Amino acid sequence: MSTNDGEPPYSAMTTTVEDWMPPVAPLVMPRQTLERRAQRLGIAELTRALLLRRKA
Amino acid sequence: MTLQQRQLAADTPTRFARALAVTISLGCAALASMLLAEAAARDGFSGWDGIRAVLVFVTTAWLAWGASLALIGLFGGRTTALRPDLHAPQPRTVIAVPICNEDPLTTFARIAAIDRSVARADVTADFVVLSDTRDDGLAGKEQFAFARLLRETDGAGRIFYRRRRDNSGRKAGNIEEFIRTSGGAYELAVILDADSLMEGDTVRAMIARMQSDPQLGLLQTLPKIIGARSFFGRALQFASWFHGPIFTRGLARMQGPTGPFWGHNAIIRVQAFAESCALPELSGPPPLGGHILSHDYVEAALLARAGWKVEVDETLGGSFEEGPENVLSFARRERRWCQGNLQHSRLIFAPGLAGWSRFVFLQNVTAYVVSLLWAAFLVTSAISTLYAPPPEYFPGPYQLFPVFPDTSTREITLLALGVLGLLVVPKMLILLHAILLDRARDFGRSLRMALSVLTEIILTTLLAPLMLLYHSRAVVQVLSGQDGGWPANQRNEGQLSLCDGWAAGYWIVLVGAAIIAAVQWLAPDLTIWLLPVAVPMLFAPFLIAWTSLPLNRVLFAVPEDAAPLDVVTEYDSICDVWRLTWNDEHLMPKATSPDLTHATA
Repeated sequence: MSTNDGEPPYSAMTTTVEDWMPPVAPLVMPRQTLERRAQRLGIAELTRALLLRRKA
Repeated sequence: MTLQQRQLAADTPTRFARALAVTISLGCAALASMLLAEAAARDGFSGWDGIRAVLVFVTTAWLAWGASLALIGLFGGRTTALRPDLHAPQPRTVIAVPICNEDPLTTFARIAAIDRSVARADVTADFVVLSDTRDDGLAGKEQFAFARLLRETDGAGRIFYRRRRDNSGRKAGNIEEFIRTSGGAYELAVILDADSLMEGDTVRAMIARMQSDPQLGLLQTLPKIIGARSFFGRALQFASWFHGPIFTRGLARMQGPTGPFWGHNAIIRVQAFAESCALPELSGPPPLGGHILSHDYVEAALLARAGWKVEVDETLGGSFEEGPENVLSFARRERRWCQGNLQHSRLIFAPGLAGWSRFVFLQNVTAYVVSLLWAAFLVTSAISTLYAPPPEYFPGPYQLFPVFPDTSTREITLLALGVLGLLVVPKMLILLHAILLDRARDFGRSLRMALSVLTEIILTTLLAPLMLLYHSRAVVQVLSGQDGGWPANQRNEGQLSLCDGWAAGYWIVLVGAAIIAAVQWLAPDLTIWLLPVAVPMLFAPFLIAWTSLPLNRVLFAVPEDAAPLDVVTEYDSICDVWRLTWNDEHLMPKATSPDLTHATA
């Protein structure tokens, strides 16, 4: 491990932040639906599932 | 129902564990309600008594639910851990560390330690630091520390740093942005927090598990707390090592393939996460609308909705985090979690979720609302005595001797003992289990271990009334529309003075004094029953300050004290060297600087 003895302080270092960026490899992330109209559908779905289970 | 979702159905042991836990909870709740109703019926059953019976039912059911987790963890857990080998070629893996206003030195020293450990485990993985730090000065210090990390690890081209222009979506948005931009480069991502440490062997085992089970979307480890110094911190640390694995095993058994995500110290399948976990903003303003704060549970539910398995494995060691060092820091974190968990009430009926995910959301809401219900029980108990009819000593017209009313002491005592038992018995069973299985060696031998367990029980009992008030206040704040935002925990926080304790806890003293005065005035018979709750409130400032004091290692010994793992020792030594040789002092923030904060998931 470097103990940094005799080295210039890091503030003197020139760094290029762009070189530090992770590789560019885009991935699609579709926004998920969790509420509102979808919520009503969810309640309906849950009710239907419960009723069907009871019948079975 | 899709094929994948059918495959996610709980197996028979999981269904049995769930049924057992529900039966235990409802059984205990019904018993407690009946005892209370019987006691209340002695002087006539009023409407207030009905409310009390309902409140006792819900609160006891919650306590019993926690106890049943421990019981299932002790007696119904897995017997063998899954440990497949890692096959070549290794899946492309990145270890992602989202940070926001952290101490750069310790954050990057941790990454250096994990990097070495990962290399020793013969794992090939990139690292990426995802900075959401808003302060330019602090971001400069991060970049300064990153430059050193790169030099010392020879990490150019495999250790990356990126800082977002804005921090929309907070931590969830930070990870999402990385996946949108760079996710295609990786098959798997280990998500860590700024205070996480993980052994290379653990990372290897996690990658192997993901490799061997293509339907596994997320694997969560049980992070154990390290580095605690104060009485409170060490008690919490001890609980995470001693009780944590048992409770988590119970949780794993009960949750089956729809397990939890705790936001860090976990591995995700990037493609699965990308296709199912882009969180929407909730409609309406915060606190119940806006960004989802407790995003991890929602992401776990969404993965399960898309047919991916989410599992927790408490048997994977080598996974660590830091914990709060005092009551105030703990309460601050609880405030944020409370707001996030109450948001889950809006997601219980979200479409397509697995039934268990909905139940988990309900539990998350209950975890905080239950404090308010306990408080409501105390208040209604006092009120119901006001409406109780006065005892009639001479009901007959020519009665010579008085008829004394039946006392309900027996029922109330049984009820109190039952509630106490639900809190204490699981921990005592875990102690017995540890003695029988010779776990005592890891916790300073039987006597010290037993003493630690008893002290932890006493401490949590003393702090329970304070937590009840902190939780109740948090719930009231959220429900009244007060947004707590994302206040980060202070790192390097620790010892608090009595003045600090008074400033933060005087309102608890006032509440405690008001409770005792009101009950003594209205229903003096009840005062004695309220003392265990009210007295700790009166001593809140003292408890807050006292529990923040440093504690030696006699009590609350954990295996890490005696034999720290390589990654922890390495982190400590890297920190020591970096502190000594950091020759750019003006760039580094002071340890007590208020802008150094830490936000856990």
